[in-house]
Amino acid sequence: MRTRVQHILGKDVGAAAAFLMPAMVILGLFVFLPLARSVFLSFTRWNLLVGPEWIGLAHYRRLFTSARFWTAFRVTALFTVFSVGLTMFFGLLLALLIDGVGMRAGRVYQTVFFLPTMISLVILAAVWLYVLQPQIGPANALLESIGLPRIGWLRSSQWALPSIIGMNVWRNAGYTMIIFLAGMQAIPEQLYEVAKMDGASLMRRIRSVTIPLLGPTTLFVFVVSVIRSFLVFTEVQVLTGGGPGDSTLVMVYYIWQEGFRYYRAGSASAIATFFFVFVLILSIAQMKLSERRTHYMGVK
Amino acid sequence: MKRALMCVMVLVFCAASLFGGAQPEVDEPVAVDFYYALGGVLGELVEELVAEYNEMQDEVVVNASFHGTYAETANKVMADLAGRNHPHLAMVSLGNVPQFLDVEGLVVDMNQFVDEPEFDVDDVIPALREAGTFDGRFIAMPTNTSTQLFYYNKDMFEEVGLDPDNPPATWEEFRDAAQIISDHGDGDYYGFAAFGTPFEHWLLEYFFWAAGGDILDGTQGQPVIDSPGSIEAFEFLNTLVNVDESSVLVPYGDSLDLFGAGQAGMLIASTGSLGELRARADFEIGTAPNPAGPERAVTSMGGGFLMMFDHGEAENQAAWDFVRYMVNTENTARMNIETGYMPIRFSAAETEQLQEFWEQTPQARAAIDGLPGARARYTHTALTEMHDILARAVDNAILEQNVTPEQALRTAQREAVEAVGR
Repeated sequence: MRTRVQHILGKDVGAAAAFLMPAMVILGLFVFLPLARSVFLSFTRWNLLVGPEWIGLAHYRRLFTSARFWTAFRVTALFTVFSVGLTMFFGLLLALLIDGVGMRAGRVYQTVFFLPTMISLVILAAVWLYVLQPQIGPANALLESIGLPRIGWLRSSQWALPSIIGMNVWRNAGYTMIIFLAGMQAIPEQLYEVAKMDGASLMRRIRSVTIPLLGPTTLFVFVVSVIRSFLVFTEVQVLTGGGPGDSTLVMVYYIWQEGFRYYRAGSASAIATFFFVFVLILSIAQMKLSERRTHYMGVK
Repeated sequence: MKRALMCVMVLVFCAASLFGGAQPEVDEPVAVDFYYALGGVLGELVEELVAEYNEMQDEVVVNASFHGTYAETANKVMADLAGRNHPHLAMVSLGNVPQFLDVEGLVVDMNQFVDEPEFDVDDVIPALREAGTFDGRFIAMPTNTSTQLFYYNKDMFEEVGLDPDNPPATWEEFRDAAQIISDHGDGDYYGFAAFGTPFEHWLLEYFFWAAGGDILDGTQGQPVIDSPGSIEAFEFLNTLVNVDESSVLVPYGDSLDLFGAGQAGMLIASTGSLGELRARADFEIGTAPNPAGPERAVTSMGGGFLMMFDHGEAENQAAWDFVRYMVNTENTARMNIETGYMPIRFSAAETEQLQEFWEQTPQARAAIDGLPGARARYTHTALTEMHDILARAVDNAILEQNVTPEQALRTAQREAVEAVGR
């Protein structure tokens, strides 16, 4: 009797298994096994040296009464809302502008706006550290030259999070733009011609043709951006270390701090597990909710 | 056939190398791994000492490697201990020592070595010896220790009408001097540059202790961050920065910059920064003990200590031989001359090199004179977290002024109690 797999693959099932093996081994070893281990560790106390010692749900119970955990939650949510919103807005705006100037000039602009995405994040952060330096940085020099007061930027709890969001938007808008552009090029030209014949203005064409037909692209960009924002770490690590106070304490930084700065691998795992489930549920909900409102141009 | 022959050959080769490896090889020197931290002038000296040590004998080879800041080095050692591929020796900040004490059997008690006559343990400054002793076990050997030192700009004192030979001795005089300097400079001068990140807790130790407060209760190890003395001290620091606006609190490196550039008249910094400040300043630097607070005159002592991790008797003995060399009289004197870190032996102070150096550099001598009043900095398994908690209190109360100093310390106390209880 042939199994369903054999039915699909015919007699090549052995070959298929052989080809899949390396990927399965690597994924299993470096993704699934650590994931399972992390879930296990979340029920233990372990300082990397002594233990792990089973303590049940104690870490999870503590989480809900921990002020810093909720601070991290709030900061991460704020970061995600503004970072995703602004990245998508500017990504779309850039894509529309580049689509408008035509192919040849568009290529140049594409490259320019995409550049920040290709540079190492640590190097970018170091550059921004200089730009935002309160005494000698160009950002404050610019403010002063137009008669505005200096800002503490990364050293002020009011401005540190907006600064990191700003850098993130600047970096990721180019990536988002490329994806939007690809989506726009897939929209049939005839639709615009028909709209023009009906006397639709440029704004109207964007609103009624481009944006609705970018639905699947937008959904993809949205889900990916949200997940990426939740996982923000490097910028915070390099620029603020979670400070001043706890004003830029994002969730992954908090997990890192618990695990590798305070050596509480169990507690860090509990936060990570909780956060993993949270992001998973949110992503599924996002897909389900947005799918209903998305046009797939006949491919449903 | 060919294949079978190949297999046999491989097997024979493996067996041969196996047995060959098992034979005791008397002539091979013992390799000792040594992680050190901080780099800079100190790192150069460490590399120099290691090279000379490897040159002068052929029984031990020390492999020294640099691992960044104290915190990064401690992290690396922690991870290596977890994987049981730890180094023989590591340079650890005093505050980080307790986090390694949980690892029973991997930390070597140096009591078994220090009693040998060659080492002469009585020559080591008792306060430093005690700092490295935990529960009766000598587990951290002082190498590059330092205290806080009060620095002031003698030229600026003269310019604003303060007596350059009489630096402030109390907090009242300290506050007045800061005010006079900043008034005189008309916004260009700061009276006092207080250091913040990444050593906020080290500054607070001095202020808290001087006012009779503390961070941890000495005997129980319980947090007492919101004790009356601590609050009084924190309010005093806040007064200097935010009420009088005569002083500024900036990252440690920036505080050296401000003082070195002649923009801040007074500074509290590590004795280990003396060399750097002397190289930068084009004015006469005065040094003195920290101004006395309402309760006491005090300075906080900390710095680098060597820890030994177990690798069996023979290798431990080899590692010890290098430790003994690092802290012998001659090398201890060199440490002070080249970096400003303390000589840890009384006999070093009597060497010709050091006598000569102090004659030429009286400021370095002042650092040594302050040693009797020095108190070893607090240590705790949760030290890093305690530090972060205090850093947030400084951020919120002094830099951001979102909360009063008292509120900030009450929050810090609550967080610290939770941290040490876990």
